[in-house]
Amino acid sequence: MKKITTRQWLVFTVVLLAIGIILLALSGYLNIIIGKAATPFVSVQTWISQRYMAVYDFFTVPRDVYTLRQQNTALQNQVSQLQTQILELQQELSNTEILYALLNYARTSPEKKYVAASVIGRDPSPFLSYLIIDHGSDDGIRAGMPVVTDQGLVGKIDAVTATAARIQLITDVGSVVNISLNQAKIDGQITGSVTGDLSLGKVSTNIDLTEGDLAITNGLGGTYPADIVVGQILSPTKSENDLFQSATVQPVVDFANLKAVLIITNFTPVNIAPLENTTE
Amino acid sequence: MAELLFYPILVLLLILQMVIVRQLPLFNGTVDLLLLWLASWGLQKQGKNVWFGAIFVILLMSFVSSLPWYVWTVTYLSVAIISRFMNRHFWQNPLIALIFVVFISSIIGMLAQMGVLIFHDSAINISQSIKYVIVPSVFLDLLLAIPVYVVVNDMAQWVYPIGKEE
Repeated sequence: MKKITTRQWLVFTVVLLAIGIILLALSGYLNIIIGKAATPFVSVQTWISQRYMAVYDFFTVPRDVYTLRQQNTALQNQVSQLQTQILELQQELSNTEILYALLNYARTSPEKKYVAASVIGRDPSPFLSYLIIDHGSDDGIRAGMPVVTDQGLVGKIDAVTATAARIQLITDVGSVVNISLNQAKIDGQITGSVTGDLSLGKVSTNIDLTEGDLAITNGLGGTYPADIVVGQILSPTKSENDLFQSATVQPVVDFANLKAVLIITNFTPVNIAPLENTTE
Repeated sequence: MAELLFYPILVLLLILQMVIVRQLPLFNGTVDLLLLWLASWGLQKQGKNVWFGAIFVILLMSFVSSLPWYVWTVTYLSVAIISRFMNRHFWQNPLIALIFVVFISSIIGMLAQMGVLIFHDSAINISQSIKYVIVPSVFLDLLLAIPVYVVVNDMAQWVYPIGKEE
């Protein structure tokens, strides 16, 4: 029988130990030992990996920041453009709504011819209530033509150039509008003031003025066509000793936010000034 | 020649006055940017030609406003006269001169406007006019006088340095 040498015993022992360790490792008995043994290696690997990533970032990140900054600028520009577009669309929507309302109003009285115009300014004097519009004699507008909106009477054309015109509002201190009251069935005159308030004056004390009564143009004097709403009676003032009573009138048109108006172009105002001079 | 730059600015100020300033009243009073600009210009050492500016403004205002030309003539010539007078006599203290010029010329302008409306038989209420138009307008003019003066002063130095003038 062949004698087993020491070397063979050594190999056999090592193989047996290896198989045993593998079996122990596979069965999970060596996890704790492996974990503890691996910790220093993991720490070293982590340290090396972090340093490597730092060096890598040092060379690569600046390029990414530049790209990101470019993208950010492009996106910011896009946001600005979109915001501008939103504002423009909102403005267009607002203008369209105003024009649609004016168109609807124009359809209700087809016998009148209208020219629509945008308000582009106001008289520089704070004492006056005049508007400047962007249509003039080139569009058939003449002095004296009445101006309205879908809400009611605005005023009349005071002066005209080829491409612009000036409107005297009914709230102007020099404005007088002949009206009829819807309920009271009387005629009267509404005048403007420097503060932009309207007032109805010289109404007989025998008449009962009621709040909310509608003031409508009656066509007298030939300045304005009949049946255009001017305003509502707000606060009648009547005292026993006075010969006449008066009232504040709330205009139906919001003059502070007036953006577009309609000019009635087929109404010819009557100039009664020569008749007034004759009677004097 | 450099002062020619002031004329387009006056046109721009008139547009601002008609489009924006008139939409921002205090009661019924509004600031008069053209008056402030002319007053500030007249108080500059370089403002010897403020007369031409005043005449230009009178022409502009007479064209766009419903008030007659002589109202604007009184208003803006008074600004030019008072500002040049103050520049000659109170040149060491331009801010006090500015306040004085703006206060006096605003009141003259407002009274001229009210006067012409009364003269033309407008049913104008004097106490209402003073309370709601004249006092707020003069107050706004005084409030904005210094900022406008600063802008005009800087601009005058920029377009027409004193060294060049001498």
